[in-house]
Amino acid sequence: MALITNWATLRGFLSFSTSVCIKFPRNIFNHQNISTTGRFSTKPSDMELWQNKPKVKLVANRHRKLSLEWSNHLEDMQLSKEDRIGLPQRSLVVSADVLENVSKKEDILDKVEESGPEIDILAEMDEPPVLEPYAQLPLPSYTYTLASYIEQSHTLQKLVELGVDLSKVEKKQGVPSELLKMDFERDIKDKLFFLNSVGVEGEELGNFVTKNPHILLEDVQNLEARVNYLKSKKFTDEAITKIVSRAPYFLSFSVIRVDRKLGYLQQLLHLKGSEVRSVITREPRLVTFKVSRIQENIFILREQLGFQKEDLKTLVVKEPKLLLRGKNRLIGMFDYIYNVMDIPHSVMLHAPHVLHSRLHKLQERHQFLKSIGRDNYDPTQPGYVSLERLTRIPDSVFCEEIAKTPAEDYNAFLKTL
Amino acid sequence: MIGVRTLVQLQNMSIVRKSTTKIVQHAAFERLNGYFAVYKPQDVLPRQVATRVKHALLRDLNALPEGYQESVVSIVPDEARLEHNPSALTAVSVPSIRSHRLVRGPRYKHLKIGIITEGHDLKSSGVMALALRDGVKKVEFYQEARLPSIYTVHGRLGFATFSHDIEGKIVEKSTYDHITKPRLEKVLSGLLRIECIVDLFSFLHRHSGVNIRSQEAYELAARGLLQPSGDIPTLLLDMRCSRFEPPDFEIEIQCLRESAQYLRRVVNNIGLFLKSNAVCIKVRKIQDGPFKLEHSLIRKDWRLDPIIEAVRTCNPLMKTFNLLPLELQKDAVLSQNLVDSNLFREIEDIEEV
Repeated sequence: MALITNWATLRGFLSFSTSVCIKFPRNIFNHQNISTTGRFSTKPSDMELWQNKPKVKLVANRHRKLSLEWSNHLEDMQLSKEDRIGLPQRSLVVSADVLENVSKKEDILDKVEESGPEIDILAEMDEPPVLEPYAQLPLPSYTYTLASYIEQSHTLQKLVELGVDLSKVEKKQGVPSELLKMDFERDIKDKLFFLNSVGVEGEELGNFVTKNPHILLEDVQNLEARVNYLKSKKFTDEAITKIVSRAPYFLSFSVIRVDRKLGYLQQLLHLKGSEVRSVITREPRLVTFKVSRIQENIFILREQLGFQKEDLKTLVVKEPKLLLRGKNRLIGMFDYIYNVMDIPHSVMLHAPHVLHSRLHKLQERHQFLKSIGRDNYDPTQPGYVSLERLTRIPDSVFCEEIAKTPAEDYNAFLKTL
Repeated sequence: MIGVRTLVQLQNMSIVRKSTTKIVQHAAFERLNGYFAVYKPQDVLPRQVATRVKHALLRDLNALPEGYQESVVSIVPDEARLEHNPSALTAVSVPSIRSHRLVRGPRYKHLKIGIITEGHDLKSSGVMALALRDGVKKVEFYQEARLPSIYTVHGRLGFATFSHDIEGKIVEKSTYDHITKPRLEKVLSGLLRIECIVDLFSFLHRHSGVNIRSQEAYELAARGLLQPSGDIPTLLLDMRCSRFEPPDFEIEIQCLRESAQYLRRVVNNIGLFLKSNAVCIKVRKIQDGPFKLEHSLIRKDWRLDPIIEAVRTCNPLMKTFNLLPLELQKDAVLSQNLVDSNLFREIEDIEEV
């Protein structure tokens, strides 16, 4: 008869009726060669570790003598297939003479107790062998997200403290692998100090790096050169702060490219130096966008919407965002303003912001004003409605100051469209 | 004056702020379960409306405070037992930096949203019912119930277009001086008779699923539940002229299984029957089954708070047993009858005793 058990079943087997504390010779556990750490370091798989519990074999031999076997080798144990998972490396047999002439289970325990120093396996252990392998798990060599490394990486933790959204940064091409090689103190700190000195402060710093993490890969000297270029072009410090915080990618453009784009813009619309500065300060994305978008919008404004060449300059100086508007939206807005609201080019020139508002908002408000007979956009007549304000203000102010009706009426009107 | 206004604004703001900070993310997400209606504007496809509502909801959900911080068990050297045993370890529970919002990203990335209302297209506007999360399962169930919807259709006399829409290419022009409101109403009732009344009996015979000469059919009809179900052709139930100012007119149409383009064709037919031409200016749905105009949210209300409120008011609308498939409706009605009659009998018995 051979009985193979793990600790739990062995305990049940030995103390079936009495609540005796089961004790085993200490040398079973503290045998130097059975070093659990050594075993785990060679085989680090979690699954194995979990299943690696020492197996005990209680054997009655041919001569009807019981022996307790604790083994490491599969061959020693000759286990059935289900039990043949993960065993310690050493085999150790409790000598048969200890267990000689034993008939009752209680007697086994007594004999074992007598044989030397003991430990209590149900008591808490100073050194639980299972915890050690979990203390330092190896890092994954390949991952889809920076979250896998955040617990080990001091740099990433610092960035999160700053307010950088790593879930967005990790989607930028080439950035996450470079970021992992960096050290916060060595590579990142001086760039953040530089950005702070330019005027990006507090929570904005995190947002800035979230939008443009490539700034961390740049050289500080390059960044300084780009800011110095702006200063040499007589941009004030406030203007530079506005430019950098409104278009985080501005500083990623080389001095040559920025210079070329500013020159192009100046030539295209015959702007003066001060006008270029005000336009760029109000819409710095004119530099970071593709030139083709600007070219296309200029073409549309001139050829399709019929603005004169001189008018283009006033339009852009008043509302630089127009050059970045989507093609179809720009045409759709103009179509509604010119054909439905009957507003000529000359009035539009005074309020170019209306070309940059949302079409549905303009439609709703114009139709409401028309239904109450207030759709008068001619500034020469009394009680006219300023186009400039028409779409900029929120609904409550619109109802109160322009339509002069309760907001409920306006909401009810919106449900009849 | 200004002080009063700012005070009112402050009060309004405080109410809004109160409602958003009160609920945490998962509580708000739990409430987004069921049905609500939006007012679909013109020039937006129904699918786009659903997508926009979904993105607005996800944006607002992720802006809410997270209710609890996830924690992980980490194994660290045991400080207390360090002298006694230098390699002593202990397990402690610490807040997990991996599940920080900035590391993990927004918590809610997907939301199941379905369109209940049928019949809308790009140019139509009006009530459009949407289903959220578990409600999506019931969309087919609702559409099988074939509840009537009501439209107001604006038309203009005098010309006809290819697409029967005012923006289409004009193919024909005609005079409309001879048209009066009684004439229009006559045509409408005639159209209805052709389309509906004559057919209704045979229509129900074919599509209601009960024998039209049975007691069962009578019981259903008495409760207004005798209606076609299943895969049926379009059916106009009622048409009446609500406004007539030539060349413009406005008719109210109650119909089943319609599409906006079908109604535009009806307007075109009305023009032809009037010995003139007509095009459709606007198709506007004012009721879809139980969802009415007052339940629908306009575009600026496509936010978390109004939608949670709307879901709460609209969920009971879908619970009425009118939504059951017809077979189950019949069973419900008959069992109700049985219960009623038994109740009466019991009451009579008690009275006799």
